[in-house]
Amino acid sequence: MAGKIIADQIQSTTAGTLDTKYVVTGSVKVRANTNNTGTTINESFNVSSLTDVTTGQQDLYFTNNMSTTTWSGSIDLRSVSDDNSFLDPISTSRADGYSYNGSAYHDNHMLWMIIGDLA
Amino acid sequence: MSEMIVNKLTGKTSAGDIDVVSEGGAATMQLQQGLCKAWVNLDGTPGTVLVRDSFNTASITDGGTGQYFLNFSSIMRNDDYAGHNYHTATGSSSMGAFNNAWGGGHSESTTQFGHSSYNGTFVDSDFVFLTVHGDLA
Repeated sequence: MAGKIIADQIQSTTAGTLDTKYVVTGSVKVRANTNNTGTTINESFNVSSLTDVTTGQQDLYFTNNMSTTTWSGSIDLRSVSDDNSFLDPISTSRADGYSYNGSAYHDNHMLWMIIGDLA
Repeated sequence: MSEMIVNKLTGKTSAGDIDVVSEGGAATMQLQQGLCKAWVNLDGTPGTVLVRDSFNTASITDGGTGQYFLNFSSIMRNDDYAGHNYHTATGSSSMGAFNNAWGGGHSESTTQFGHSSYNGTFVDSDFVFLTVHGDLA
């Protein structure tokens, strides 16, 4: 059986003390590197599936839902200068990737990061 | 209030897997997966490229106007990590209509990033913020 420790703080002799709430609340809850053409997930955490909606637009579905729709996140495209947008229900995230000139853009690496409270 | 004083956390069943209970208590998540693996705050002013603060960053290399290479201290497991970067307008702290870019120089040990204006021209910036999430080697 795995061990279980219940603690409010952790302390390192070199890096200081941290309340464990920062570990839980401050950790990224979803991250992914997806191929923006199709539904290939290059690497991910807490992701159940990916849907290709249209050019530059994908829906990323969470394995464990967020507790609210007010989470924070960021997406980037790897290969071009970009300007991106999010939708944010608790169970999925829709991201739109745009090139710097405002046109929808498919990229082989769309980079996702979502932080907030899990349910 | 309880307090743990330790220098290293290691999973019991699997060394690289420590679970934490979610905020709402409905799920558990793997601690290692959610941690930021590298971050940097740097001054990208031409001729300067000064690292103000960082984590897991061995060095920053100037890749030309508005372009930088971050060299990891501890390398990533592969080049499929997810990174994000933002920056201020050139030479000031004002808001600017600029974009973020990632270059082709991605590997387990180095990641390339940069910034351009809306016409696609790379520009230097005095405040550059970068985070990297993924698996460490």
